[in-house]
Amino acid sequence: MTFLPSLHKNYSENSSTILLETVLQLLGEQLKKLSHSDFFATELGEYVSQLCKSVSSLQNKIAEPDPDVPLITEVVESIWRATQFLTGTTSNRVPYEVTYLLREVLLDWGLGESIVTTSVNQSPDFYCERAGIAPDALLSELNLPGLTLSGHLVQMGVPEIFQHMPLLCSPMYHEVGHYVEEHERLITRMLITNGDQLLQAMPGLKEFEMASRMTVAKAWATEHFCDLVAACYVGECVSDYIIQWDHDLVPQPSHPSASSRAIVTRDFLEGRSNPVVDLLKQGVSEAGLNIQLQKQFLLPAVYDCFADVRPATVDSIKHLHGLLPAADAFLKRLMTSPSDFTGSNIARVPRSRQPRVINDLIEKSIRSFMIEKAWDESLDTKATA
Amino acid sequence: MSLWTRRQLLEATQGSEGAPPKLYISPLLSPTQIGQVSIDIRLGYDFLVSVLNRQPTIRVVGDESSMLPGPKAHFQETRREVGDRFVLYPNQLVLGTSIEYFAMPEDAYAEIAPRSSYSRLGLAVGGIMQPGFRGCVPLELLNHGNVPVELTVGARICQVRILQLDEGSDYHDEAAERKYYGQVRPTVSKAAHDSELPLLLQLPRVIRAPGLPDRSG
Repeated sequence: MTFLPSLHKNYSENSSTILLETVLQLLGEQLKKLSHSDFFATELGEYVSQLCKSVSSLQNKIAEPDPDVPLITEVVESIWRATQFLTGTTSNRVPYEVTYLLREVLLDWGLGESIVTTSVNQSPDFYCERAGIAPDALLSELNLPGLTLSGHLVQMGVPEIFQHMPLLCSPMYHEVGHYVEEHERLITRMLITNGDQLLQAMPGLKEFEMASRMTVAKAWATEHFCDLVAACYVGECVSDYIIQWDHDLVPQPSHPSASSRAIVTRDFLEGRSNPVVDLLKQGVSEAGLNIQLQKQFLLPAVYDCFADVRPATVDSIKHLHGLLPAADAFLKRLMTSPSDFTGSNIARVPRSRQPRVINDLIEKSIRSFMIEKAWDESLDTKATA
Repeated sequence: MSLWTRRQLLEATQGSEGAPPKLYISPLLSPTQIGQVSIDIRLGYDFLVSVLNRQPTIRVVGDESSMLPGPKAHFQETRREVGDRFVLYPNQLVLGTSIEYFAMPEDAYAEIAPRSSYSRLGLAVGGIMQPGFRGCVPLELLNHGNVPVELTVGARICQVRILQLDEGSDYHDEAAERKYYGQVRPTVSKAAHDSELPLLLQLPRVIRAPGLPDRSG
């Protein structure tokens, strides 16, 4: 439940600012505590400091005669959300391994300067959003300064129960797609340049009224784009997750049906012609980015290692992304055809524990790669010096 | 039973004549970790730190139907990066693991001991790895000194000595019952899962058996 919006939606002259003042006071205290945590990289420390300044400015604005309460409330909500992610980052409980993979994706899409804050949440939702103080329009209306950091701030969130289940965090690759789209506005540009073709490529849009068709087209094309970004790195993992989770066969204004999404993803992965895939590929190609919409992963050999309950040894980032689809295929085979594994050590692990053990092996494989890479780079630096 | 020497350790970890390694350790960051009769292992990045809470004791009673909190409630998880520091306070129990994942052969077992440099700081660590063990080495860290000790994640704090057995064993056959099989991060005690604990709970109390005077009160 979001409490604050009701305050500004029902705002009247009689509304009090007591709640806002109190929330700002509490947020200020929380941010001050965070600034003392001695945890953050320099950039995040600067971010906290800028959020603190914004809280002070808002407190001053409320004290002015006739404050713009609805606008201030929206900015407060945004700061609140940013504080939540910062708190999550200091909790030292986030899945660093998944965050590491996603940072590599951001790097591929030219967003390597990103500073990532991560939190674990109680809801089943995944997030990957641009962080700031508040939307620029709001800040300029209130005459508040925006962020002056070099680099983009990203807020990532995963369900807490998936904290140590990297396979189940694969939808984050889709969310990174949304973040890329938020930055590059590829779909918006495509609707301007190839709008008619895009509408024709998604015949299901005819179910919607003319007036809303363009909005739905944008939402659907964005979902397909994000699915393909995910498929570039983890194959069918994400579309499988969606199929298993979303049983709604009817397309919604916000997204196409799970089955049609799976078809688009499969056509993309198998190199079959599909008008949606072709248009999205063309859109990315014309955007002048340093990346194409194509497979960015290689499948590492995991069978011998996982069957013997050992982590896999991975030697490149492409193999690291590919670890997820390879492990997904391994786990599915293990669960559906256990006789294929007769005599192996993994077969002696009780079925109920097998998904946990495989996810642990993935997590360890990623972490070992991270450590070895950092170690080698450190040795190289030392040798060069 | 004999202690593996450096030559045997190197052969077992590298494999010989095309055979796969007998002893799997990953990641082994530096060849210098393999000593004359032991392998140095590094402090891992995940910890379970013991904390005081409202429960007066850690319950290890084997009553699985009970909704009362077990050992998990007495530990808090925290994660670090290699190179970060971790402060171990006097008399505080912290569960950690090694960075290295081990896959032990069926015919050898391992003993874990602190490196002497860390023993001198008051750090106590101990344990064994069964033949066929899979997982990161569990480290139950305790600071016996009276001053907090600042450890570095990734530092070589322990050593593992491997002992050759005269015959093989079948650890994996018991995988279903192995409580810590394949662990990659610290795990709280699962002593309460010991199958004999419920039996002990139900055992007739012969001293206070019916018919005898109860003088306990």
